[in-house]
Amino acid sequence: MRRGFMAGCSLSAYCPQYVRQTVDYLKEFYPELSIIQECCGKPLYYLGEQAKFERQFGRLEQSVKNCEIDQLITACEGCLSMVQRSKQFESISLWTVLAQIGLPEAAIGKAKDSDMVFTIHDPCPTRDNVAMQQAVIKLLKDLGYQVKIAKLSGEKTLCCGMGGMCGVANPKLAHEAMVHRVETLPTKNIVTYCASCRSAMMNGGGQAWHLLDLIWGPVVYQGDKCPENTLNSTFTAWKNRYKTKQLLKNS
Amino acid sequence: MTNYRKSTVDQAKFIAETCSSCRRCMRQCVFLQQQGQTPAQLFEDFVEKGDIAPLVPYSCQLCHQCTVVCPHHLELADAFLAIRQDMVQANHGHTPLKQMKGVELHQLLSRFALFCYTKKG
Ligand code: SF4
Ligand code: SF4
Repeated sequence: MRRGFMAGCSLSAYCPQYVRQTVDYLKEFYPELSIIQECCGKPLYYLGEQAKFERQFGRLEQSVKNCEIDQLITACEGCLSMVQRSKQFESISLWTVLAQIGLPEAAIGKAKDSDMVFTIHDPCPTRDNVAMQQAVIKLLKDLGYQVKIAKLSGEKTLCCGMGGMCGVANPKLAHEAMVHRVETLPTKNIVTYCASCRSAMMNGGGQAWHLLDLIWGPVVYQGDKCPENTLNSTFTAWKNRYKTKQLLKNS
Repeated sequence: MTNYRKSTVDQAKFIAETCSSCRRCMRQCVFLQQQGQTPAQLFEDFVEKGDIAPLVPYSCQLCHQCTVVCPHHLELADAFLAIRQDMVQANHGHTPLKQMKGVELHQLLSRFALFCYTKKG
């Protein structure tokens, strides 16, 4: 089976280096891995600009076809939800894949001495993807972290506040939803696996890590500060997207 | 004024008639709480007036939490998205909200070769 990897816009805007490391790791298992660095068009879908969305999604479809990809591995839950909705080609979340192939050796048990207790914020576009949610819990435990499951998680998860383009349409309401979401969680130390959700959880008053921060970055302890909120700076975000492309080009 | 599709109005009518105003969906949804109306009232108003302020459908986070907790599994997000699509149709392909222009620009930039890359493995 020929596989492809799609990081998605917001993850690329957050951490170019971790995207590159993920690709390098996946290639150890799937040497024929193709790279798709494109937008799925979900923002247009949310806007209700259906015709423009279909054109954008068509471009993605064409790239997947050109690369002869049988299964697209996505690191973004927004992308995954759009791809699965279209039913045009097979897709799977990066987290499900990582749980299957296992973490890199250096990452397994690396946090077993950490006193950190994380809770998980599940992104809302994939609330029905139980396999992926279970995979994320497994990956955190394999890293060695303690996990406290939130009552409003899995299928019942809440939106981070940015869903549906609410962050742009009604920023005040979006911020209130972010604060509300953080308040519903059992701890303020939050792990999520969508870069946009991570940014929202920080804006809502939480300390939030992306799962890739924990796989590739340093071990985190109680009281540690999470990485800075790069998505709040438009300039840094676009610079990072360019950097991700360059790093992948040379991979 | 927007000309709503029959399917959009039917969806709204279905919610207005089926929603039992139990408010379960409102417990965790800041958006619905701020509307101050149950979905039955909100969609009944829409059907009666034949229109709605654009900021209302555009404030829904389209997250489907309401559907999960609703005893009738009502799809509020789908109804709000359909209303958005009709508003866009009536506004020559653009959202009626000025603050959304940035999203269109963002999408345009996302297509630039500077940020896109595909490599067949
Ligand atoms: S889909 Fe909209 S109405 Fe339903 S819970 Fe989410 S924000 Fe509230
Ligand atoms: S949960 Fe369903 S029935 Fe209850 S108020 Fe909300 S939409 Fe109406």
